[in-house]
Amino acid sequence: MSQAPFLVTSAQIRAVALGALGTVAALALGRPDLLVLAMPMLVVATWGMVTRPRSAATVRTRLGRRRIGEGETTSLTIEATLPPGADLLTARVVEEPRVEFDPRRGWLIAPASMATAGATAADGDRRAVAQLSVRADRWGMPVVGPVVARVLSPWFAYRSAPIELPGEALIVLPARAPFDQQAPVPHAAGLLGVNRSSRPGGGSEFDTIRPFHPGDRLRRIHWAASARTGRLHVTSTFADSDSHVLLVLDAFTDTGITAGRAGRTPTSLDLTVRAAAALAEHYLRVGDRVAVRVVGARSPRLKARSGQSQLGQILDVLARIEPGSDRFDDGRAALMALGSPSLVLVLTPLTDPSMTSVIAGIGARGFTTVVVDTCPEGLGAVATWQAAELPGGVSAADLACAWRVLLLARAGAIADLRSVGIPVVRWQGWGSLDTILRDVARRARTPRVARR
Amino acid sequence: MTRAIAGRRLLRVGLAEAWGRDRVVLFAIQIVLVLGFLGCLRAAGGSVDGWGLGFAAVGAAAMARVPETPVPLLGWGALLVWWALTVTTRFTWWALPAALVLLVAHTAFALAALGPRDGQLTRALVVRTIRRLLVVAGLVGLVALGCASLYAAQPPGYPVVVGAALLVVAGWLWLVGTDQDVPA
Repeated sequence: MSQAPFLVTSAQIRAVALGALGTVAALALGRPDLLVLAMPMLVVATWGMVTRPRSAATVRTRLGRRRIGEGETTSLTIEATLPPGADLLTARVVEEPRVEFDPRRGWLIAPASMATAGATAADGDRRAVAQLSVRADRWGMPVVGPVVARVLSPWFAYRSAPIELPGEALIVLPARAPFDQQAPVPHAAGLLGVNRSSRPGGGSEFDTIRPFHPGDRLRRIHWAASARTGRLHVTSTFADSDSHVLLVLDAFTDTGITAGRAGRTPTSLDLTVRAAAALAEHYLRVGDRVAVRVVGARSPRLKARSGQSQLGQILDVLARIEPGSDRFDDGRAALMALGSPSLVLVLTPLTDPSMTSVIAGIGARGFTTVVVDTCPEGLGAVATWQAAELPGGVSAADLACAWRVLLLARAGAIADLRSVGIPVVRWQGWGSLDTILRDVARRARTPRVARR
Repeated sequence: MTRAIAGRRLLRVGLAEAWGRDRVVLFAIQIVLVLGFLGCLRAAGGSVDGWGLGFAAVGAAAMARVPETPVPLLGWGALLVWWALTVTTRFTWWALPAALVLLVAHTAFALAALGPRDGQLTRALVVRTIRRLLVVAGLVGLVALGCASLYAAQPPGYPVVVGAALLVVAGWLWLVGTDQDVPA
């Protein structure tokens, strides 16, 4: 809430000056026609002076929904309690690249109406309300504002000094990329879920046909095998279990053309965050427990939990990621107290060498690890950088050349990871992980040595 | 709330700032009004040649480009002086449309100075402004009628009466304009 006094405008000065000029000329020259010419300015100037606001205006802002998804819209309401005389509110909301305003450029104008009873409204006070639609183009925590408001009197004669109101923080949750997975998660070890565990039990996936034991359900009897052998046989199944999925996100850098407005190629962090949101939603929907670790950015560690509330928390953590905000983290913190995840999915563009050692460290501890490659395409192409706003002295060709060198290093890192048995798969949404997880599940059944 | 944000057409000339539809309309109105004022001046017997018309059009465009500065005041002051110097009759009914043109132009400049060039005015504001313009136009019409009556009757001491009335108005203006300050 903020208040400001009123100042004379150039419109009022013009009205007074032209009115005075015409009147003086009319008197000096004895010309009634000049008096008629000056009359509208005299009337307007008088009207403006008589209705001059005597007390300060009060303005406040209110953001509608504070948590919205990418591409969704909320509203910013600017509400002014106007003193007698004031009758117009104009407001300008400072632009933010991650959100789009309607009206464009965040300029609003609202005529006054009589105030309803309120805490700040006095007798004769009037109220003006302007509303701005705010559409979030990119996940994150954009600040809507600050807002600079002015209040004007009739005939735009007096206006308040600029009233500056602080911006309102908005949490934009990442959109979930389309994703589904048919392949089971290896090493499912929980109590309830949809993944086939390695132990027999009451599940849905066929294990074997074995002789009947006391306690077996009658509906499990396999009549064909029983008739053939002369002994009762039953169909046994694997138990269905939930799994613990750990998502490790690389937030060391954000690679690509930033801003992420609709129509632009997403950056590496856009892909990482949206893929993480999609994976988390998928695994939580099928009853698994999901934990999240962010490497390279200050972010809380989310322990493995299941359910919709966990999805809300994960999306909240993802929305608050600021790339490179933790400069002292070399990734070791992400490896602490991991628990025993069934599957570790590392989402990274593999452009930072620290991340390669983090992944190798996780793999060396015996966890089933899959690297999901979220590097945007076309970074080595000149055309990609021609559309970007580059700093002075840097050409698109130079940048593309530099990226080609980095991409060579990245290819080396991918080859290194594959050589130690960590698969790398490109994020492509639907079914991205199916093939690789089937391979991993097959391999997981074989014994191996691990460092814990 | 997921309604789409509507796009708007903007006008951009070269590298200049983009102009919104409302501002382009106000720009055109301001130029037309200056030319309209010159039309009234000519009809009232004033002298307007081709050069004057050309200068006025260029001046009008310059004024309309920077409505928040003192340039419109200087421009319209010059037009008033032009009227006073070239119209020879002491009263003409053409002063009434010229006064209304001045009133609308003043309002158009004030509206244009309200916000950025691609800003949008609301319908409610435009309707309310037109309503107020009609009220002032009515008052100006009444004053013109009074002036015409006085001019026709030519009563003794008429300039003194008008002068005294204007002095009273000026004193009242000074009073209402300076009586108290607004708290900071």
